[in-house]
Amino acid sequence: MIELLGLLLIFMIIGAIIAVETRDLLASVICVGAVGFGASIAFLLLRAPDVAIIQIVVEVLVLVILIRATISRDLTAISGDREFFGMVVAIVLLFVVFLFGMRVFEHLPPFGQPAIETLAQSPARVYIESGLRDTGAANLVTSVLLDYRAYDTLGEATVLFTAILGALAILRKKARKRKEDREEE
Amino acid sequence: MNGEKNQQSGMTTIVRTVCRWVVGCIFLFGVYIVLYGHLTPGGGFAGGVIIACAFVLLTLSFGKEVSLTKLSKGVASELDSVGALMFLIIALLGMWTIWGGNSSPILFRNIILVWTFISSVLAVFLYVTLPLA
Amino acid sequence: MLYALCLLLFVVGLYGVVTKKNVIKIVISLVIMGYAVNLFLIMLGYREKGVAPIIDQTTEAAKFAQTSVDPLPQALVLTAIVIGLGVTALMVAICIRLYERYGTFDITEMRKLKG
Repeated sequence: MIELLGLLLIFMIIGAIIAVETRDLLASVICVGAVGFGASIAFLLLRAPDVAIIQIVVEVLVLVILIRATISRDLTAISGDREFFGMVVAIVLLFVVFLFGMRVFEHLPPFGQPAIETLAQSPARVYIESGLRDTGAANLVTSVLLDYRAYDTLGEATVLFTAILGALAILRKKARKRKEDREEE
Repeated sequence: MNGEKNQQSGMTTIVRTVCRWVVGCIFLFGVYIVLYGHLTPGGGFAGGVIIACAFVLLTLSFGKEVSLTKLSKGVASELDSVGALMFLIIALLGMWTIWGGNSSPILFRNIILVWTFISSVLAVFLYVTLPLA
Repeated sequence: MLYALCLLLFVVGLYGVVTKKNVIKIVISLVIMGYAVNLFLIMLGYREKGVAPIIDQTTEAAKFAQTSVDPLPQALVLTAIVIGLGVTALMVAICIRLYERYGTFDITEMRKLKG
């Protein structure tokens, strides 16, 4: 189980490195797709089927959006050389970040022991014990998302609505035409 | 379907034929996930995105025109806004029960709220069809 | 060990954000960072030999409470993934507009062209 998860994570890391380093934008987008589907399988192994479903679906949509953004442009390959010095500095700095992050993990409980086991008054314990009786939903994730923490979900819906609204406003065709007309005058 | 009219946009015959078979199944699966979100894995958002994905598939295979006849941009926009509004109204109803003295943390029975999410998500369809032009 | 691999995935994304000059590459790196954080949060709630947080009729409640994984991080990560989708859509829209305006995805070129 843990070994399988580790292999999956290594696969994801390799995919991410290829996605960041390759010069072809389309290949990069496809590698991100591989990373996302690997994440979906990892969620399934971690006993989170809801998150796995939503990860697959969202991944497909992100892929469609990104491919549409890159494929119709004539400039799909990256030109220009890399700055060697800047890259070395960045790698050293990121290594320091990595070391500090490793120090943080020493204070976390080990893998496989969630906080509900150690914390007596954890909210998740209440959700697990009385979720079915309170909300009538057998799926506890749904009962947390839409009953106990429904205002969080309201905020999420608002954020999603605003983001889509912003994207529509940015991509609107009319305003651009008007602006071009103004520039021609 | 009006295949001859839109022969120029979209993809090849193989893709179109397969999509014609598969789109209905995808739509039904999305509806199932929305309706049974409280019992099985899934939920309103995942089901809504799957339904939106059915329309995305239509757009990619048949072109923008066919997809827009199934669900026009205005209707999609209205569904999106109605979903967000319904969510807001139900949230205010929960507020009202708290003010009325019933201070239970449980606000809703799940079915209605799960269902409203479907419309909130169709906006994704709106977004994806837009840059295709 | 698994946490360290998650952090490595995050650092790869951070490397892309810091060093790359292509706007689409930066968006992709941000998406990868999002995956790493989501995966880490789900890992925090995992219980050894746990079951998915969906109540079965046959198991009794007390035993289920002893074996179920933590549903709270799963619900919050679900929210985070959805918001990530919205943010990615917005970023890609801005990228398309930038391309139409400047004719390139390169941020250094954009800075030169602005004048």
